[in-house]
Amino acid sequence: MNGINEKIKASQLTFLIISFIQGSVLLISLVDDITKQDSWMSMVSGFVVSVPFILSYAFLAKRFPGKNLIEINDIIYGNTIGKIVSIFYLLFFLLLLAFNFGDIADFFNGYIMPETPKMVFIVVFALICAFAVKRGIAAIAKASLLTAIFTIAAVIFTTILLIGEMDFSNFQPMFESSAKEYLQVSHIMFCLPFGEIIALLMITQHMKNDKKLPRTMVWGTGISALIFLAIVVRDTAVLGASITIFSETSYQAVRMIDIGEFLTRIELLVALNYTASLFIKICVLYFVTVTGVSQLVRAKSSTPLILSLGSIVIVLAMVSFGSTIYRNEWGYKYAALFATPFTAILPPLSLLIAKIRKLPNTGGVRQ
Amino acid sequence: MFGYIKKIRRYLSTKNQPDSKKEPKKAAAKLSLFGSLDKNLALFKEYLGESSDVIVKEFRLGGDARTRGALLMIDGLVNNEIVDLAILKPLMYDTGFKLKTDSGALDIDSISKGFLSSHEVNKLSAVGEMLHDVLSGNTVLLVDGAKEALSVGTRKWEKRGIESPQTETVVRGPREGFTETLRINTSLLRRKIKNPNLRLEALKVGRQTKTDVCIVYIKDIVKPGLVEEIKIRMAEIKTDSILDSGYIEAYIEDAPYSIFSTVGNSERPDTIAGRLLEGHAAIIVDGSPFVLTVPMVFIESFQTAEDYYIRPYYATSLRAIRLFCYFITILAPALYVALTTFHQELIPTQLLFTMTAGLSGVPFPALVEALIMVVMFDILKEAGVRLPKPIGSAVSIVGALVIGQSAVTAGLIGPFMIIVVSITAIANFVVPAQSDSISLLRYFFLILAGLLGGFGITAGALFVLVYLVSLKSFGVQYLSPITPLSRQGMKDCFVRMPLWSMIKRPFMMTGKNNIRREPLDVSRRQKGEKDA
Repeated sequence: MNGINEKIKASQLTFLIISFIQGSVLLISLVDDITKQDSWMSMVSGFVVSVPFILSYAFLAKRFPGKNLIEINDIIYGNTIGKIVSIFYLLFFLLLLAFNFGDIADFFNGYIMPETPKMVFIVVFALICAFAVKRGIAAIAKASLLTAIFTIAAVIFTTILLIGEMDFSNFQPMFESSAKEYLQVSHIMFCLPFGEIIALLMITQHMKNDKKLPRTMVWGTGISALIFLAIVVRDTAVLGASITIFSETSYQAVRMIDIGEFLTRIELLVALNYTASLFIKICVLYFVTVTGVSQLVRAKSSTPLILSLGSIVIVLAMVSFGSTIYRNEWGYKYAALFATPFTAILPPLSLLIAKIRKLPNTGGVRQ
Repeated sequence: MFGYIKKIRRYLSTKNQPDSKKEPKKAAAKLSLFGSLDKNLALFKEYLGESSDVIVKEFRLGGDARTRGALLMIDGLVNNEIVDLAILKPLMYDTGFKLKTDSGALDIDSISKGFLSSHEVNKLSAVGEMLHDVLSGNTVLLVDGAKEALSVGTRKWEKRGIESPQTETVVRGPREGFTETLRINTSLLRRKIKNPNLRLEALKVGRQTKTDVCIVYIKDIVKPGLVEEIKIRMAEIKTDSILDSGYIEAYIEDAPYSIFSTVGNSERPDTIAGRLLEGHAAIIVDGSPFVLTVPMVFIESFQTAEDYYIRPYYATSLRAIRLFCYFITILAPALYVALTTFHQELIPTQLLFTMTAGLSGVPFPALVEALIMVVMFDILKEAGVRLPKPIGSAVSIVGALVIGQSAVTAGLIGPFMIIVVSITAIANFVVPAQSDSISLLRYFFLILAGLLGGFGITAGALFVLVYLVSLKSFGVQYLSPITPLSRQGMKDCFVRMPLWSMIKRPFMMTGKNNIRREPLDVSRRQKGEKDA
């Protein structure tokens, strides 16, 4: 792969994390379904819950400088169990990859081009992602800067244009949701968008300065949480109680923009935004899966794996969900539970074991 | 798939390697001259053959009728006056005594020192050197009995004078441009930068053409390691001919398969001087008015020399216009096709009614319509460049009338398509440095938009983005200073900050000598204003 030796700087990693997390922006409408006008609070609580776990990822990476998740697993759990844990992680990433490919196809098929078969979207997108993966993670990180800035600019732009439509009484009545619902949303927010950055632990050997990692990860997650918050506040203020009806709230909110009957119907901006962020997310997951598998089977080069793994993922993406409704059901009932072992249980456990066993044995960096 | 492409690439690269047969006359370079004039002349004729422009003037040295000499030169490349008055006249009338040393051998140095009134005289002993000097316009003097020859600088040929450049014209700024002659070009740069650190390193490239190539840089400022890298890449050039700087570009660029050029060029001495002062190196090729600069970054295409001569606000707005035009010229037809074919709901309703009215009766789908018009534009553009000037206006009238009016009246093309293509066409010429990639990208996006609408355009844009971020030019990221982001670089990127605020050289050219200006102190002037 080109530029495989090029390192990612801390600032680039921040943008990579922002774009990566923004790839899950569609999830917000699921949250809206559960906590309704209180969603903004569940966003904040979701982020607060996530911080300790994200720190545990960062400290894990910091403890084993230059090692990625698979190598860390090998050290902590020993060769056999470590390999099994790694295989589970890789399956997790592979499934995430397939689900995200399915998401992009569902979105375009459902909202923008209903007559085009889903396969077309997945194949075209997969080819471009394969090209990006071939170019290496450094190229993906550099591209993420532009997609992240585009995301932030688009959110600010649409929010300003929607100020006229906003009605802040839409937030009332406050604290209507039950504690259980808050807990559910916090769990979803942590396990799905924020927790998935565990995938970045697979590319630690490509990062320049491991010492700044905890700060960078929290910064990146924090900015993404702020963007989510802005989106939720904007959507709730604009749409009010009707946010529960729509399955894609941002898209509906931006559709309300009407400036002098000229600047109308710019919801394509949301679609572009989503596509660009999801592109980065898919590229990272794709890269991680490909390098992980090639590391596990000790392949000389991961290049031949790109297209072969890609074709598996394409098929997986096609068969994984029967319909959008099924996908949404999965999204807010089971997805978070599915991700919990990988994002919430294993990393802190690994860190704990590493501390107890005083790993790594030679020249490890103490926190 | 990638493996297959790699195989093809490997095959191509082995096929394109120049045949490494030895030049038949390579021996000539090392062969030394004989002591006899007749033998030397025979040798000379053997190598040069019977070319009509080769002049061999045999004569006897004045005062000593037994010593014969000969002048070798190429008609048209030498200055006749110098040959006749400064070489032939003193040799035929004034020499004779003191030509031989005490031991009786012929002393070639005394001719050079005593009789040739020219400032450029070199001693030669190899046949190869002699041939090269004659072919590059020098006059070579052979004397019977001497194993060495004298080469006198007599180069003069008809050349184009300094004119204002055809490309990159400016409203405000110097009007001189480079010409085809290497020496004139280097003198233009010397006049701009009167600095002993301005270095001009000469090379000869091309086995048959032996073209003079000059690497120009400022010693303390140039990016460290850059000149060495250029020399390594120049040494790797194994080709018969260098006919233009484009040949060099093709051999030294980082991404030979890319549609984006990673080597900059300019016809303007002030642009080149500016880039040299930022830490770039320039490559001047004899015979080409286009001087290459490396490394090149993408944003360079949107900067012009004039940006730095006018006020920063206006310059910034011009840059915004250029960037906007770049996107318009690539994306306008694609966006039109995507909107009318897939996303009609995004067009404001009133406009949609008007457009539908205009489109009624047009027999083609939007993609075909757009392709016809874009190809038509490319045809007109190409014809306009190649046609003789008097006919050019006729073509433009026919083009404008037939395509602009008749196509709409006949109902072949919708009127909105004409507007879109006109905007595309005009915007095409705003960013000349990227003109080759623009045209290809336009077709790329157009076809993607026709097949997949907005999704196709987005996917294509992401593809191009990933491609661009992974490009490099001589170790510099192609998209810098945008990504990787640099605050210092941003001062001269989308926004052109005031000159006095650009204190450091652009980050990608970091050397030791990084400070280029002192900040401006306006406090005295502002104080004066208050007093008055």
